[in-house]
Amino acid sequence: MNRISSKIMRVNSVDVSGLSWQPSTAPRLLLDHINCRLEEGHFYGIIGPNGSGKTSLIRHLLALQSIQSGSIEIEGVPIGLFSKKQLARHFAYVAQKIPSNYSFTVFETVAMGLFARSRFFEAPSIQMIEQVNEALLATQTLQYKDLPFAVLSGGESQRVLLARALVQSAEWLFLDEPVSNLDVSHQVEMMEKLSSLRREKGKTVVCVLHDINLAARYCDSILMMKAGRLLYNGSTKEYLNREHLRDVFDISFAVLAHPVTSDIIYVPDYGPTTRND
Amino acid sequence: MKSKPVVLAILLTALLAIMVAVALSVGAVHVQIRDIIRILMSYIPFFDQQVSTAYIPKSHETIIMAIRLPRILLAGLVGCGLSLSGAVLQGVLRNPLADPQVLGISSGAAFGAAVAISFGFTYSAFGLGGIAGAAFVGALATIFCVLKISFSEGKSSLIGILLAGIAISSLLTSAITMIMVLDREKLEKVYMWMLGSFSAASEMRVIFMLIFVVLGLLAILPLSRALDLMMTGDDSAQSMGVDVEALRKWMILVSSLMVAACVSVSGIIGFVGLIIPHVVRLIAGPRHTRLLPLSCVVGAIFMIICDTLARTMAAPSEIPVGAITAILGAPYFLFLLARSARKGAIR
Repeated sequence: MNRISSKIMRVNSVDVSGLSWQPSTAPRLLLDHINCRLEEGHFYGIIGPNGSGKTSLIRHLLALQSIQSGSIEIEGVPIGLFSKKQLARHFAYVAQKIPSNYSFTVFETVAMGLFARSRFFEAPSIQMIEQVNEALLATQTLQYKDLPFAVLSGGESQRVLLARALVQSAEWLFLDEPVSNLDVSHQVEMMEKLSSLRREKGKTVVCVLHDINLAARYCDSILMMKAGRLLYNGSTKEYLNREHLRDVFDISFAVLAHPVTSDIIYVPDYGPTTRND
Repeated sequence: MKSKPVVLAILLTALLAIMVAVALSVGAVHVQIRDIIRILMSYIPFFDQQVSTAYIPKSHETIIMAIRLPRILLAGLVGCGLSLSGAVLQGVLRNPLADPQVLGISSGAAFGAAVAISFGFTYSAFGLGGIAGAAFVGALATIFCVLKISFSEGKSSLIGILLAGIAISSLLTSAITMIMVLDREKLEKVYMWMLGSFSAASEMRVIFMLIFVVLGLLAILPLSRALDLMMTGDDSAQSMGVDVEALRKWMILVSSLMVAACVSVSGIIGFVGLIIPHVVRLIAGPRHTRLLPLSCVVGAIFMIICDTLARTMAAPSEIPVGAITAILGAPYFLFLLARSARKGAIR
C-alpha cells in the first residue's frame, strides 16, 4: 500500500507526540497531550487509576482508534500510513476476552494469528501448522488443541490468546490488563511467560497493569497515567516510588522489604478502618 | 461430529444432483429419470451425438426444459443466495439471529412489489416483470438507506445497524399493510407475492439470479478467513490485520444485493437464510472457508426440496414455498440442536 511503511522490517521505536483524544460524548480529554518514546527490547508497564487513559493509549498505539490530534510515528512513519496487515506484522494485541457464541477450537483460534502474513487462497503450509504447534507448546496449551476455545478457564484462554499473538510473529506485544482476571499463581505464571518472551525471543512488551507490585517486579520501564495525562515516564527503578504513586493514585503507600526475598513491595495505606467488628 | 470437509462437500454436491433429477421427474406429468438425463445430454455439445431422444414425447422435453428446469434452477439459486447472505450477515454482525430479512431489504422489495401490484405496472426490463422490477428497485433503495444510516458517522455500531434495519423494516411493513387495506382488490395478490413462490420462473430470471450469485460468491469467498477473525471481536480482528470497517461495509453491501435479487424473483422466503448456516455450522464447524460454500449447496438442496413439495403436494394448486420452508426445516433443526446440546457443542 505505502512504500515507506512496507519497507520497514523491524520496528525499533514508536514516538508519540502531543497525542490528545476527546470522543464527542466525553466531558474531558481522555488523552491529554501524551508525549513518549517507546523503544524495542523493553518491558513497559502502564499503570494508573481507572479512567486515566491506559486503554485509550494502547488502542491508539495499535491504531484501533484513529488519531484526533497529535501524532504517533513508527520509525518516523505516521501510524495511519500502515495498512492493518502491515501493522499486524509488527504489533500484536493479546485480547483480554473473546465474544460469547464463539465456537472455534483452540487450534483454529491460534492459527488465526497467521492471517497478517498469508495471502488470499493460500492453504496453510506444513511450516505454518508447525508454527501454531510451537506456539501452543510454548504456552503449555498443546493439550487443549482440539477443544472448543469457549470451554477453557480464564488462565488457559489467556495463554491461548498469547499463543495466537506469538504466531503473528510481531516483535511488539500489547496487553491490556492481562492478569486482572487471574488468580495469584496464574498472574505470576503469565508475567513470567512475558518476561521470558522478552529475554529469549527479544519481544517488546507493553502491558497495562493494576498490580503495582507486579509492575515493580517485571517491568523495566513504567508509564504512570492520571486523568488522561502521562505524569511519569521512565525506568521503573527511578520513577516507581512513594511520591509518584501518591500523585497518581491519591493514596499513600508504604514501601517495605519482603521479609523473605527482600524485594521492595508497595502496600497502600487504606486509611482509617471501617470494619464493623 | 465434524466430518472431513472434502467428503462432506462431495456428498452434498451428489445429493444436490440427485435432488435436481428427482425434482425434474415429479409433477403432473411423471418423466423417467433416464429420459431426463437423455434430454439434458441432448442439449450439451458432443454428448448430443451420443444419445437419441427420438422416442421421448416432444411434450416431455418442453416440460423439462421450459418449465421445470428454469424453476428448479431458480429455486436452487435463490436457496444458495439466501443461505450465503445469511451466513455472511451472521458473521459480520456477529449475531446468530441475523438473517437476510434483518436489514429490512426484504421489506423494501415487498413494498416495491406492493406498489407495482396496486398500480398495475406492466413494463418489463432485464427479464423481470413489472412487479419483480419494482421489488428490486425497492430493495436497492432500502439498501441505500440502511447503509447511509448505519455508516453515517464513519464508524458502525453493530447494534445501530440492526436497529436501523428493524426500524426500516417495520416502517415498510406498515406501508405495505396500508396499501393492502386501501386497495382490497389486490390484497390477496400482494399477500401471495409476499409468501414467496417460484411459479414465475423463466430463463431470464435464472440468468439474472445466476449473475448475482456468481458475483456474490466471487466477492465473498476470498474473504472467508477474514470473516473467521471477525468472530473474535472487532479490536482483536483488526489487530490481526483485518480492516474491520471496510470488510463489514463490503459484506453488508454484497449480501444485501444478493438478497435484493433473491426477493425480487421469488418473494419473501423466510427461515432458509437463518437456519441453513446454523445447520452447516453444526455439521461442518464454524470456519467460513467451509461454512460459506457448504451453506450454498445445502441452501440450494433445501430450497429445491421445498419448491418441489410446494408444487406437487396439493397439485394442481400450489402451496406458497415460504410456508413450507419452516414446516420442513424447523423440526430437523430442532433435532440437530437437541443432539448437539446433549454433546455439549452448544453452550
